[in-house]
Amino acid sequence: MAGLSRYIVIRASLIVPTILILYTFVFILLRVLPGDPILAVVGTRYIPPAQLEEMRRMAGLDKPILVQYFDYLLGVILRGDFGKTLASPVGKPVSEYLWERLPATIELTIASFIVASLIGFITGVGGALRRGSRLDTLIRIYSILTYTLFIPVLGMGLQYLLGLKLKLFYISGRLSPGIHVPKVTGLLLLDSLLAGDLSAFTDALRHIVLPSLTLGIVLSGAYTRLIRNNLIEVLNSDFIRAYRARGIPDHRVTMYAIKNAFIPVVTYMGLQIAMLLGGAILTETTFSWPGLGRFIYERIEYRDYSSIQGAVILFAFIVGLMNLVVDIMYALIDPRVKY
Amino acid sequence: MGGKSLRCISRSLIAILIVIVVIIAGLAAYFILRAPAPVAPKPIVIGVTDKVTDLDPSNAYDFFTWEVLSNIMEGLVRYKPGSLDLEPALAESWSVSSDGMTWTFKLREGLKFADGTPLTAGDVVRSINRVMAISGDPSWLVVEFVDKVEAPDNYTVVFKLKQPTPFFLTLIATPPYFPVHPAYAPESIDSDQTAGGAGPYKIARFQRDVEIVLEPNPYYYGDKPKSSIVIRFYADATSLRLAIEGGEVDIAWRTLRPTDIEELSKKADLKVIEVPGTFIRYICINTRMPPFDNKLVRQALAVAINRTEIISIALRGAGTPLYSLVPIGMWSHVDAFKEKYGDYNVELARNLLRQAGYSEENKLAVELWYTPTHYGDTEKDIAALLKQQWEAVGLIEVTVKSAEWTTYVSYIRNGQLPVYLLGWYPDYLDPDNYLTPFLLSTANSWAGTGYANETVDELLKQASSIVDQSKRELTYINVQRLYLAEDVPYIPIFQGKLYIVIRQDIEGVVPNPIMLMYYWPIYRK
Repeated sequence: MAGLSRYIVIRASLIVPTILILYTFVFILLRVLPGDPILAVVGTRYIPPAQLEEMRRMAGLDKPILVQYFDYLLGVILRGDFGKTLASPVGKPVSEYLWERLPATIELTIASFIVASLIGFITGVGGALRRGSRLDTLIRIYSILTYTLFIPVLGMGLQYLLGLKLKLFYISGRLSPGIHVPKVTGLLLLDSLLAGDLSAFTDALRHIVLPSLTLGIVLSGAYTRLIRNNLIEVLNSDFIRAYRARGIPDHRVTMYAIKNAFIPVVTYMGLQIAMLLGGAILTETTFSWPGLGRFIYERIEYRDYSSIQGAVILFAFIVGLMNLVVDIMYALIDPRVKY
Repeated sequence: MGGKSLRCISRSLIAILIVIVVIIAGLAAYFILRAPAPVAPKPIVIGVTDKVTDLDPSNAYDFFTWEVLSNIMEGLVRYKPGSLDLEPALAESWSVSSDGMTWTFKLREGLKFADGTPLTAGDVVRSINRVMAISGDPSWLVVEFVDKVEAPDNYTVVFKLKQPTPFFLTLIATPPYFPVHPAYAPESIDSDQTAGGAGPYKIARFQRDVEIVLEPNPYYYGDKPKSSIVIRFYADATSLRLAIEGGEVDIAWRTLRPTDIEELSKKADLKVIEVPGTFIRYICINTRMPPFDNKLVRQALAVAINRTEIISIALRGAGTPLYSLVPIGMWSHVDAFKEKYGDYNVELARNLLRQAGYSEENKLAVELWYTPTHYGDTEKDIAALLKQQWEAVGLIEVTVKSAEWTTYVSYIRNGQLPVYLLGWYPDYLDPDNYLTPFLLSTANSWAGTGYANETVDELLKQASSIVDQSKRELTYINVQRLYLAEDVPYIPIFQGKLYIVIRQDIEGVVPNPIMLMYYWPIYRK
């Protein structure tokens, strides 16, 4: 147990340098880009020069670069202060936006993860068990095709077909106008069930289907290939032959094989969190989904340094945390992992 | 045995999976397709790609936020729906002193904010002093004109101005002059404050960048709105178009592309209303950057533009050729460029360039800049057409470049761009707002043209304080004809039109030349 605790502590401590490197990279990148948050807001409007300078001073942009860097970093570490927005509206705590938008992204991420996993599992297992067949060929083509899909294009295609033409699902937003769900977790599907409002649940479900299908399909190809290849490898391994030789029923052998094939998939799922969050930016923009991804996209246009830095740090923390959870699960599942 | 068993297993597995999928699909179909419970009367949903930046008029300085503020608040005067005429609003009457320095407004009796709190002259004074103290983006609209504001009694508001301002009523109609609820923070910007003002609507719910829900204000003095309104924010024109086509919104406004408008106008369940616009598009020329410091070069570029072609091809007709910075329909407008140069005169352009020393062997090199998304998707096409037209002169070579908005603005303010496209939405509807910010040397640094002319400065300062309308008009006409069209620091191209796409069962939408939609007349048949 002491070994596991040490393992967890070491793995957890790796989150810190990850966030630090990412923050530094984003900090530099934002300041290298031409334009600044004040001009992004002011645009071509007439603002007296003295007022422009005052706006820069109030935003802290008159301070030396290193001071800005450490001010922000220490604010996040010591006070959980992600700074204030530098653009439209100016001066709002960034953390308010982050906590307000995060549930929408989490909900979309979870739903997309379920879609990707389900599709990946079904097609991966099917392809492995029917190796060499026409079905297997189709599944392999599908897994390659998903790599070429561009989220906005797939998203708009699904919006047009399933939203506009067949009118099965809604093409944007999280809820229809006039429907309100009391906030408990911010996850509308869960909150509507907690409120006992089945109409709101249905409405929220019809809104989340298309964006989660879009992101889920794009990411499912990787699962398909991983599960298929792992399962084929495991099915050909010695211990499976040994099980069969001992007369263990085939369906149980297959279940053992699937369980073993899943161990590397669990690790991959941790990495997928980062891809899901990254893919959320495009998905949320395409579907006007009010999550953190769309928030980052909009704030980049404003050069809102605080908002972008805050969102990136939060994303990095979430990814680090999820990878830590996956590492712990992996250590518990796989007896070969030493700690 | 292994192969046969594997096939049996895989068949069983697939069968189990199919059963699970059918069960899930059945449940999903039940939930999705069942009729929802009856709900309250449907609000009218307006889709936009703009944003509400700040619910505080002391700091809000963009068109769409002003539209929302104009519906949840009201000023002492307002524009008559569908017109550029001002009419009484919170004030029932007003007078101005003979020297033009003192404006006195009489408030209606019984005015209240959206929660029933009485609104008096003291609230008007409080609100305007608040704008001056906070010094937000649009505060100059108050600070540069108002010396002080007083309330000698509960129904009288007196403005003492810094100089005679004949267009003061147009300023009063802008949101920085709107009285705000006492709940607004007195000394700081209150961006998410939903207490509003004394307009036809109150905010029921506001989720930034997602939606804003407006309900009729029960205490509004005038005609009550016919419907609740929900405004939904979309990321781009494509999403908005899909939303109006799919029936998720009832009104699509600001901003669809010309191609979208064209196609949506053919749909049987939709109708398109054209809104006469007061926004203008123009080319800026950096008069301090060689060779554009040569007036002949600037004139040649102005003369070689075919506005009709640009409007027809790039905008699908969504614009009107413009020959001055003052828009068509506004008093003092003259077609200054057309009067001086005619319309699209390639031969004249050649002559001017030859006088400037250019030839087929020594062509004028022009770097033309645009920004790809800020003014919509048509910018690239406009730039491409300008390149084509200028190169058709035979003595010009054009390189087209672009930068995204924030970078673009930075380059402009630093005077780094030679020739570039820009647009202007007015702050207030007066020729002063179309000439002073562009031509007054102490006010035009934002435009990056570096234009400075002492005579023009003097004329504009005089015109902004002359009370006599006819003298003002003559001054502005002279500025357009003798200086703008002669010196050419800007080349006006077109005056824009906006379009509203509406479902067939929606009535009451009145297109306003001020380009702000009033929601209260709108209803569902």
